[in-house]
Amino acid sequence: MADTAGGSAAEQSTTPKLFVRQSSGLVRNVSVTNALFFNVAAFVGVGLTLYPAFYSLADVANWKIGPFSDYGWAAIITGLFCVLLALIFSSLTSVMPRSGGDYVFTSRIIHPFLGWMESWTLVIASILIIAFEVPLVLRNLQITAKIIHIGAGGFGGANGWFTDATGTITGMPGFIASMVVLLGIGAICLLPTRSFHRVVTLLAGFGVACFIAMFVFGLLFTHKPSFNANLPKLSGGITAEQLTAAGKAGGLIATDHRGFFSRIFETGAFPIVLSVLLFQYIGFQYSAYIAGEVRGNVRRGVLIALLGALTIGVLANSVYTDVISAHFGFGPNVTWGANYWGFATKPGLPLGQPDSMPLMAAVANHSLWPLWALISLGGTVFPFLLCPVYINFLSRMQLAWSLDRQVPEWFGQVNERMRAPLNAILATLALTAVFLFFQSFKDLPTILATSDHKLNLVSTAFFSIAMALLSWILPGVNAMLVKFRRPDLVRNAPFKRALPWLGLGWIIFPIWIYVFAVIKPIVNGLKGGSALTYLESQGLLDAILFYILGLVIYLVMKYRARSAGVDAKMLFTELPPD
Amino acid sequence: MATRIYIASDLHAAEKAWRKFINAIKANVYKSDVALLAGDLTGKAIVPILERNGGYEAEVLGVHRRARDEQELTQLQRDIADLGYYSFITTEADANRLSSDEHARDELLERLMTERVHEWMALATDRLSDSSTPLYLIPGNDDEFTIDDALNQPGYGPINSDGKVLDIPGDLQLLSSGWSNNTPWATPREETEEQLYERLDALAQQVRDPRRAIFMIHVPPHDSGLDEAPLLDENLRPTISAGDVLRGPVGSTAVRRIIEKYQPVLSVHGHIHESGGERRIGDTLAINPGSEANHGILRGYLIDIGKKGVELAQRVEG
Repeated sequence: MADTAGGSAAEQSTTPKLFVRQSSGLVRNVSVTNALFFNVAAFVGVGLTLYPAFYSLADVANWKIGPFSDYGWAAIITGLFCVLLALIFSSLTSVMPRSGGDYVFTSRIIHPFLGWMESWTLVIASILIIAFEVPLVLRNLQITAKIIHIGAGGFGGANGWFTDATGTITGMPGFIASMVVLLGIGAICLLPTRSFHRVVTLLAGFGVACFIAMFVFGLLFTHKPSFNANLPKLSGGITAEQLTAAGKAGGLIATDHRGFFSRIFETGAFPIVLSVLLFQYIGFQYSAYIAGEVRGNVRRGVLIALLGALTIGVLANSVYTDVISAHFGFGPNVTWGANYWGFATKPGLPLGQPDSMPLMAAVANHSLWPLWALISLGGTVFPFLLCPVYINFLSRMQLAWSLDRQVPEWFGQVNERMRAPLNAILATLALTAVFLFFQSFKDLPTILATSDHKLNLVSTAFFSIAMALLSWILPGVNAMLVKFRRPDLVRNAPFKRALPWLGLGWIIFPIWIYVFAVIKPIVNGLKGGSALTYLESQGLLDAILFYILGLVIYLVMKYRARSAGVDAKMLFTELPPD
Repeated sequence: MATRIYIASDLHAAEKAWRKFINAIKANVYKSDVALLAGDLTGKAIVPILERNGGYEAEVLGVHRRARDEQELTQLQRDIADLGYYSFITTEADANRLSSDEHARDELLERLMTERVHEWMALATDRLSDSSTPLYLIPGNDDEFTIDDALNQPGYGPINSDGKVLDIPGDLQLLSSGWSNNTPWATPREETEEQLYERLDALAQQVRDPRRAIFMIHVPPHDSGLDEAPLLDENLRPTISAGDVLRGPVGSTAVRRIIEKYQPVLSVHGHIHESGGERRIGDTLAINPGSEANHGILRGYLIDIGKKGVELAQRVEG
C-alpha cells in the first residue's frame, strides 16, 4: 500500500505528469476541503466567537480605531503573523507528516529533550484550556436558561446553578457539574473512532449553523435602542450608559487619543491583548498536523487548508465579534466582560452572566427567545466539542512519546476496542479533573495561591499562556535550523530556501508577546514587592512547577530507559543516505 | 547474549530510505546481528521527465521542476527516486502516447521496477560485502513477480527468504511470506484468507520450535492495531468524517490464526504504513515498523531475542 499523491492532477492535465499504477493503495488522500474543515474544527478562537466578554480578558484599557477594536486588530495582526507559521507548518508537515506534530519536529531537528519539553508543556496548556472550557459549558447552560427565563419565564434560579454564593462556578456545585461535563467529554472520547467522528461532525455542524444564524438574525431582528431600553429592566437598573461610563472611569475603556501605530507598538497593554489572541489561536497549531495527508499539489493544498482556516478564525474574532458587539454597543460590552472576569465591580454584572451574543439578543428582542436559546445552545457546543477533539489530538502526541520511550510503554498502549491509547486519554481526563478540582476548592498551598488558594478562570488562562511558550517559539527555531540540522529531510521541502527567514519572521511575534506580556509584568511585579501574589494570580508559579515536573519526568525516563537497555541515541540517529 | 534483529519494511522504491537502510547495516549503527526487510520494494508511479526547451521538465508532487543541464537532471532524477517514484526521459509526444496506452505503461513500469531492484541488490552487495550482518528480505503484495529474478540472482548479497523457513543467527528460524489477503486493488501477490492460511500453515509446519522462530509475513494480523488503514468508499476513496479519515482493521485473519496457533517468539509485518507499532498476541510480540520511506524517513525496529524470548523492543528512525 502506498500513496497516489498527484494522481488526480495527472488525469485532468493535457500533458502527462504522473503515471500511476493500477494497483495503487490509497493512504494519504485527504481533499483540501476536508483538511480545511478539520482545521476550522480545531481552532479555539472560532469556538469562542459568541463571547465579546473576551474583549476584557487581558484586563487592559480597550480601544477602538476604525472598524475594529483592539481585540479585533490583535486578531488580525496575530492572523498575519500566523501566516508565517502556516507556511512553516505546511513546509515541515509536507516532508514530515507525523503523528505527534511538534514533538516529532523538535526532537528530530533540535534535541529530544526540547521536543519533550515543548510537547509536555503544550499538553499541559491544552489540558488547561479544557479546564477553562468546561465552566464555559456550564455558564452557557445558565445563559440558555436565562434566555428562556427572559422570553417565557421559568428558570428564575438559573444563575444559581453550579455556583457558590458569589455566583462563580466553583465550590462543590461547580465541581460536581464540571465532573458531569467531563464524564460527557470522556464518553465521547471513549467512543469507537467512527462513532466519535459522527458525533463530532453532528455537533460541529449544529454549532456552525447557530453561529451563522446569530450573525444574520441578530443583525436583522435586534436593535440597539431596544437593547438599551430593556437592559435596565432585566438587570436591576444597570444601563448601557452606566456600563460605558464605569468602563471609562475604571480605565477599562481607553479615553486618550493616541494614534493607531502608537497603540499597536506600545509595550504595555497591547502585547497582553495579543497574548489572549495567541491563547485563542492555539488550535491552529494542532490542526496543521493533518497537512501531510492532503492529496495532489501538497504545497497548494496545505496552504489553502491552513490559510483558509486562519482566515475564518481571523474573521470570526475581528469582523464577526466587532460587528455584533458594535451593534449592541462597544463600551457596554467591554465593561460587562470586565465585570464577569472580576476585573471590575461597577456597575455590577448585568443579568449575572457574561455578555454572550444570544443573551444580548434576547434582551433586545425577547419575542424570538426560542431562536436565541437555540443559538446559545449552539454556543455551548463548541467549548464542549473542543474538549474531546483536544484529548484526541493529545493522545496522538502521547502515543509518540510512548513509542520514543519518553513515557512508559503502557501509557501509550493502544486499546483493542477503541483503537486509541486509552491510558493516555484517561490520564488526560484525570489531570483535567485535578485542574477542575483546584478551580473549585481552596486547596492549593499558599506558595502556589496566596490570595484565594485556588485557580480561577483568569489564572487558568494565563497559566495556559505561560505553558505554551515553547510551543509558539520552537516552530520558528525549527524552521531556522532544519536546513542545517536535517538537510536530508528538507531537501525538497516547499519554501526550503525561505524557511530560515520565515522562522525568524515568525519568532519575533511570540518573543515580543512573551517579553512584554509575561516577562515584563513579572519584573514589574517583583520590583513592586508583591511578586508572589502577582505570580500566583497569573498562574505563573503553577507554570514553573510544571516546567520543573517536565524536566524531572524526562530525567527519570532517561534513567529508566538506560536501565532497560534502550539506547535513546539510537532512536533518532541520522543515517547518511549517500 | 541476545540476538539483535533490525527490521524495516515497505520502502517502495524510495532511494533515500534504501540507502539509509543499507548504510545503517554497513556501519552497524544499531549493533544488529540480523537485518530484515518485510516486503514491498517497488514503487507505484512514474514521473515523465520531458525534454523541452533545451532542458528537462517534470512535475513532482504538483511542483513544476526544471533541469537546465545534466547535473541538474541527475539531481531531479534522484529527487524523484527519493520519493519512491520512477522517472524516464521522454518527449511530450511520447508521454502523450503513453498516457493512452495502458499496456505500454505497465511494460515501462515493470522495466523500471526491475532495473531499480537490480540496482538496489547491487548496491547492497557492494556496500555490505564486509558486513557480518546478513540481510533477509521478501517481496510484498505490491511487488510484481518480474522482480523475483533480480531478488534471486546468484551473487547478490541480500537473501530472498520468501516462501522459505531458514536458519538465521541466534539459533533462530525465519519463516517468510510476502503474500497478503485480498485488497481492493488486485495486487500481484494476494489471495483469499483460506489460501493464505494454507500457504502459511504449510510453512509453519517446517518450523522446529516456534518459540525460537520469527514469522516475517508482509501483511499484519487482523484487528491487531498494526493494521489500521483508511476505510474506503465505493470509489476507493478514504471515508472522511469531521475532516478526519476513518480507519479500520484491514489485516489478515489467516495471519492472526497462524500466530495464535503457533505463537512464534516474534512476528514481523509491514503493509500498512501508517499503523506502525508493537502488540502482543498471546506470547507473540507482533511488530510493524510502519513506513515513511517516501518522505526519506527510515522507520525501523530493534528487537533483542535472548534465550527466554524478546528482551527489548525499540523503535528507531533515521
